[in-house]
Amino acid sequence: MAEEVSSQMNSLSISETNPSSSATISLVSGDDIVFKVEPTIAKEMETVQSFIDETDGKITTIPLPNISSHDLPYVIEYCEKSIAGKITKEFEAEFVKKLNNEEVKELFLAANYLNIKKLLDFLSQVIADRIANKSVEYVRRYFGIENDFTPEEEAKLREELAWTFTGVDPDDEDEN
Amino acid sequence: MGNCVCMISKNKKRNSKLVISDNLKKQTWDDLPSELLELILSRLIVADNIRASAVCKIWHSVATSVRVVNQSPWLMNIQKCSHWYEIYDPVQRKTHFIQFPELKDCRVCYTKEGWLLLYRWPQRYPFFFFNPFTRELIKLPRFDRTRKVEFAAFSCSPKSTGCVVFVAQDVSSTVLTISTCSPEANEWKTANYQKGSHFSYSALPQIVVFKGLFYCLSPTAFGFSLSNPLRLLMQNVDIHVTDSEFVVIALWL
Repeated sequence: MAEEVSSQMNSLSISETNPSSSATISLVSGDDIVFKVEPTIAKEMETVQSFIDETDGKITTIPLPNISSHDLPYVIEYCEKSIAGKITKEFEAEFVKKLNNEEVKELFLAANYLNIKKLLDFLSQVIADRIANKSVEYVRRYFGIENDFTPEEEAKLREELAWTFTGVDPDDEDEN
Repeated sequence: MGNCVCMISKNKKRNSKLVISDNLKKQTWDDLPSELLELILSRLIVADNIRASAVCKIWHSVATSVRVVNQSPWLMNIQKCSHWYEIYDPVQRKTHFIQFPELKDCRVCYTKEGWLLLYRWPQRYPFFFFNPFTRELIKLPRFDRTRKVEFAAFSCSPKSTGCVVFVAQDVSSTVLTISTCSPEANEWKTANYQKGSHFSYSALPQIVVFKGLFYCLSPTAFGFSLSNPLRLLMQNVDIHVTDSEFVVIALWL
């Protein structure tokens, strides 16, 4: 698959010599899907910008092996809105409504990888909201985290902090 | 999606979902850098933060490092006849019920930074600190129980350096005793103070600690005579009368 990506990149680099397409940047997802975007988007994606800077703008095809073609359109949509100065509470509410828990996590990691500060801040609040008032078991399941406390350590924690363990949302509200 | 164009790189049919998960170098939550975890956990209210600290060891260390202490005050309703206490968070509009057998027969003298200063008469060690969030308990040195405690306060969390506890007791109609100590101290420092002729406290004074000083504010006339300079008796205490309406007792920390 790595070969596929590089051959893909080569063909695209060649096509970049064509003046009509030099105005756009190609972002290549981990599963080899190419997304053509306006170069201004790099202003939002620091990782992309530094890639362009390092190559003096000669290379405009950027492989993003950590990001899938499923997640990349969301990232691009958010960045485009941000560039247009159209990030509103309403937009964010609509944006997050479309995302299930798995997608929120994927996008959070993508935002970190691409170094998109606004998206990272926004998604950390979304994740915080989604684990608010949930049980410890729910949070472990949500993130797929192994409990590495001994039963004694966990019992002690729960005893000391008993008041926070009452009144949480029932676990059967899981979305996934 | 605006003006972004999407094209599939090869004319090969893909089962996209499967291919994606096979090929991506996935970053998982187990190896998430703690700065990222901090971003999320720092946005949780304290009850959620505490629960997050029970998820696993890494979460425990990150959650405790970003736990917000300086949040809006909660109300604690102390019920005389039961061990159940009602703690109300006005921001979340949420009530927590919790038992504190540690607080049986206690009087709450003062609260600050999540800590309570409690007094349980007639024990030998009547003063102690208690943190209802962590259930930590810190005893203070043995204290003279023969006189009634009028009011008590402390400057900052007993876990931080420079914490001073301040207790005033009525000795007689003309003498007031002021005792101070720190949580690490082995004993109280005590000094008697001559009350002024117009000294009274028909209502308990409000004690405010501000920039290292204890201000004792009383709605009634409340004064000390300065005839007995307390500074000589106890090096770290100074007393000022600002006007006949209230008194400032200063403790130089």
